[in-house]
Amino acid sequence: MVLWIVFAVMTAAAALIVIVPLNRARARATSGEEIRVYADQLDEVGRDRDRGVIGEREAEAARIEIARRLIRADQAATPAATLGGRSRNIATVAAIVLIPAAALGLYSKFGNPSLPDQPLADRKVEALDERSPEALIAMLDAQLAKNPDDVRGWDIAGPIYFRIGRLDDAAKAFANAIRLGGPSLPREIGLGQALMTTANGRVTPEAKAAFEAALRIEPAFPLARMYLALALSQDGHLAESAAAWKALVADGKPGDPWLYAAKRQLAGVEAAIAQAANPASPANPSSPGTDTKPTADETAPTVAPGPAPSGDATPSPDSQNMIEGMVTRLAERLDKDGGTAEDWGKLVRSYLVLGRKDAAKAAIEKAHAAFAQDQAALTAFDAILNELGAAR
Amino acid sequence: MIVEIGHFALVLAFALALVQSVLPVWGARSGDARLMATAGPSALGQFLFVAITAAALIHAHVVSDFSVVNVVENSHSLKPLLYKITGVWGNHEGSMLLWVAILALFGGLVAFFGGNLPASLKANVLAVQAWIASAFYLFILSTSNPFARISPAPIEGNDLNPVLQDIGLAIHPPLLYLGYVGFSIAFSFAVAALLDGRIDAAWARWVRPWSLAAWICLTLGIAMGSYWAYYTLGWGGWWFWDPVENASFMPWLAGTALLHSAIVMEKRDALKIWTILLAILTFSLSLLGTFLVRSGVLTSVHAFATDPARGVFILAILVLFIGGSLTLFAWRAPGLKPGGLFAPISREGALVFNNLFLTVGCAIVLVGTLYPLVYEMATGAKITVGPPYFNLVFGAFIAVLLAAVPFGPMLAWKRGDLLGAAERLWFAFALAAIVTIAIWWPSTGALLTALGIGLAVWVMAGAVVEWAMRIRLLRAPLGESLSRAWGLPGATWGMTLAHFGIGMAVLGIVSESSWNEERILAMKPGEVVTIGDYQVALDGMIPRKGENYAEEAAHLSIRRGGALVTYLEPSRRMFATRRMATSQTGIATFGFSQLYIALGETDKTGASAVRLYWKPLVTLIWLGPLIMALGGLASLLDRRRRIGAPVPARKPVSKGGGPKDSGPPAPAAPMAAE
Amino acid sequence: MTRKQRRLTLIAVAGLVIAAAGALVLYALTDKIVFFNSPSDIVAKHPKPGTRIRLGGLVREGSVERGGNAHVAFEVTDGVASVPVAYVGILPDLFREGQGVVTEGAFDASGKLQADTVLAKHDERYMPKEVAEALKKSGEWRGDTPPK
Repeated sequence: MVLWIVFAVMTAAAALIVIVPLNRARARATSGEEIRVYADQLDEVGRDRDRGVIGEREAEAARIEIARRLIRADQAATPAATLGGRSRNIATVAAIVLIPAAALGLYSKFGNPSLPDQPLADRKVEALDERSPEALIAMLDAQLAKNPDDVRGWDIAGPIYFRIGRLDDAAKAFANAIRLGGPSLPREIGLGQALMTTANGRVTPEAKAAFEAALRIEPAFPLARMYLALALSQDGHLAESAAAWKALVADGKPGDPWLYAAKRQLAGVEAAIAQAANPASPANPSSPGTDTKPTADETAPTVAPGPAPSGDATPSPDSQNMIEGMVTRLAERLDKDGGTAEDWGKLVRSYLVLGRKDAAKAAIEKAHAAFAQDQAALTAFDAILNELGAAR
Repeated sequence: MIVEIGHFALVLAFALALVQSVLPVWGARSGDARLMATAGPSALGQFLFVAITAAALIHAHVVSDFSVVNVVENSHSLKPLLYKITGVWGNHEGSMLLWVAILALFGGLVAFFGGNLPASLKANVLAVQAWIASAFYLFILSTSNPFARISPAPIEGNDLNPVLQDIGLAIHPPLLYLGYVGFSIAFSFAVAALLDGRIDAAWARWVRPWSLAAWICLTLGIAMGSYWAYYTLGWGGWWFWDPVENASFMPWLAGTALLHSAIVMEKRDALKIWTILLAILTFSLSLLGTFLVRSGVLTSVHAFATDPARGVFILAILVLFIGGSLTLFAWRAPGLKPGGLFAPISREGALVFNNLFLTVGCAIVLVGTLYPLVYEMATGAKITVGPPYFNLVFGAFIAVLLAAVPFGPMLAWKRGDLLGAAERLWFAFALAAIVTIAIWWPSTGALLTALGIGLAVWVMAGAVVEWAMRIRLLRAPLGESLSRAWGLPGATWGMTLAHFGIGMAVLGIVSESSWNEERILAMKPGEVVTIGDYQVALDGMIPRKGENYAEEAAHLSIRRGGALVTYLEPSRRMFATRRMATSQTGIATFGFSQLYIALGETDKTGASAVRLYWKPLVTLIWLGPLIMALGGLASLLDRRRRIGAPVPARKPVSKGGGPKDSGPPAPAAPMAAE
Repeated sequence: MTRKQRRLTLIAVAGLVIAAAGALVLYALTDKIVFFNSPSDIVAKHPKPGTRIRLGGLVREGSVERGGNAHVAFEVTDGVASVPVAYVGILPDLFREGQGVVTEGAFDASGKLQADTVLAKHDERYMPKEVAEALKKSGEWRGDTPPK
């Protein structure tokens, strides 16, 4: 309501701006401005002459020329303008009618009078779970940028960054957490894994240092030992690597999920040693070292601290499987029985989180087809998409 | 609510512009003073409403109202306040709003200060101004509305391109637009004169301050933009002949020509039709520039918006206004009275020479800018017309013009004495010749450099000699010279400064392009490299954190002959929101020269790529235009109306002064500004 | 001189200047322009070593090699063909693997483009028009999502 009152006042002001001069009793109706300019020019010549800037002869010639222009201007001067009556009335009516009509017409086409302002400061109370993961991550970024000494924030951020593939940021987050909150097992392992994944699976000296720090906290921690053994073989210290793997296998109890991977690595390293001893064999001695992917993937489920260091930062395989299973079931259900806009939105969002853009696109198309008859659901679904898309 | 008030104000401004388009012209045609009187208040009202609109949009950006699409796309809640404000015009919609806001500002200024104008001229000028404004309001409302809303509002924005998060964005576009759009006044005056069918010396007198104001802003805007690109892009380049740069340079060339021809028209009542045409062409080039930049038709490092749908709309505006005004010109111009007579060798002749070369230079730039478009349309193949073309063709023509600059002010109105002018310039010529030979002799081969420097010295010395003669320096007691200097009209100071400034700029340009030293290498902490007379040592890298970025800065100490001179800290900034890096250059100024250091990536061995430049006299490239703009200001502030005193026919005054007028050479008739 | 004679002098001088400008422009426009090519064009046309060209496309993933002292080698691809490029200097801030790039320079005898200019796309949402069109032609373009 207030808005419309303001609009009315503004429109009235605009109309008055035109109407007042139209109806002023004495409008300015002068002429002879040119003549004034030439008179000024004549004065100027006189002043220049007095100051000695120009000679008498030049001054005289200039005066004659200006005088000629002055006479011409005087002859051409338009008769003083009149004050029309009828045209004034037409113009007044036009201003009263056309200005509001044009303004309201255009505004009703482009404006959104029902939408209030939404400055960010007023919106902090929105429920967290209504937001897309992207928005939550943006909030996390903002929180950390504002409050870089918040250990808890860095602890939360590290694994999240790692999962969404922002590996440099993940490494920085773990390092910050260690700097601010001191070393801990999850932090050191997380840092090491982030560094390692950044280096495409190579255990860099920095990563090695992190795993060694983890071992100082818990000397028998198998995951750190595995990575260090891997580092040894990557660096070509095959004998030491074999010894480390053997020790690990010896410490393992039957049923430890990492045991199988350790055994396979041990076998690989031993094969490489054999090949190195027998140069006739054409195999590549470094192959066990570079064969990091299966190892990492298989060991990961057993350890809590961080996600698996697979090359393309996705959630760890079993949780991934679980999520994908759920998503597949959801997709099947929606395909068969249909669902609400929220259900379809959930499916699209899940695909996006999983990084399956094509599947998300297909789901959007399917949803649009399903809602072809249902305008309300379509609008609701598009609103969800907007939210997803806009937060991108 | 504030957002919608801003939106409604924009619509009202459009409605007022429509009224302002019709009533004043109607009044001027029918001689109705009341209808004409609506022009001024409408223009002021229009400006008021656009100001409300702009304020509302700025407010939305400042409070991060993400229900406004424009804010979502170009802002971020963490962005520093300054860039929240400047980000308003760092995007297509906002910059178009700035465009009309400045248009409305100029309309308002004419309404406010135009009391000395004949009522019908004022009415017509403001009406034409409103035609332009209406077209652009419609463009903004229908294709580029900055008040488009989104609901539900996203929680965070996409942030402004980090390259634009610089103080340069606060100054460069507004200045440039003040220049660009300021020439609309000259255009409106020209069209109004054609509608009225009457032009005379007084017209030039009225239009000149407006053109001068626009020219000052455009000069500063271009120079500022050049310096911005120089320090922000990290390549050490300051002019790329990029289409977007050309788009602002062409109106400058035409506008400079307009200023000069308007002098002739004002002082001597000559070149009237040509001046009208120039006024139309100058603003047409501004419109063309707007089209090139805003439609995304050209590829360029500057283009922040690419949307062909908008291009068609601007193209229509372009065709309507340029085509319409030129048709009007072709129809009305033959009926206009031809102007006064003058000999080819005279001040007027010199200014015609100036106009000829400036317009030809402008045409050369235009051809080079549009040729790739035409070529692609004709053959489908893509080409680039780059610096080699412009430097050769434009350079050759502008060199001829510059060589002639010192002669102009030495010639008398109506008929001049070229030989006498040359004689008075012997000192400047000798100085330029000595400098040229001194540079060329020791290192035979760099003839072009030597000639370029010589040309710059010639232009600067020419300006100084002319000034010295005017105040009778060394010929009269110092006290008299000083009082004469004090008494010089602002317009004269303006001309001297502007001509000196262009010489400075040329000196900087030639020096920078010939003697620029460049070193690119990977440096490790502790390493030292020598460039120019300076030793640069990389002391180490410092990580830092800004409001919305993290940066890695290199700490470099600069020594000369072993003694520490200063520190520089170039850096690379990483912006999290857009996952983009920018580089901050480190620049140290020594006299007029600069040491310029840009930082690249750091590799695995800990070595950082570093690009070092020694740029002798480089600051003159921007100080020159600054001095030129200062000259423009001096001329603008000269409120005295001046008139050229012709030499009476058949009695040429002997050079060096006649018996009566023992003053400086006869042609020292009061100078035109510029 | 009469008014007519003066006018003729003026027109003659102006004509001369404009003719000179026209001649110079025509010369420069045949000699000083640089053609834009996609990698496929290069492979098809085999430009002579020494001819200046502009090459636009995407930086091929995994092709960037950084040598010592700011020497960089990478390949520009349009998904169909790739062309090796060598460059000395600091790459633009926005230079990244898989992203749009325009380089300018001349081929050496070995078929490598010795670039003196490398321009990266200037904005997340902006791809040099010439690159976008060349990519569209080669079928690498997928709607409005930038090819990765």
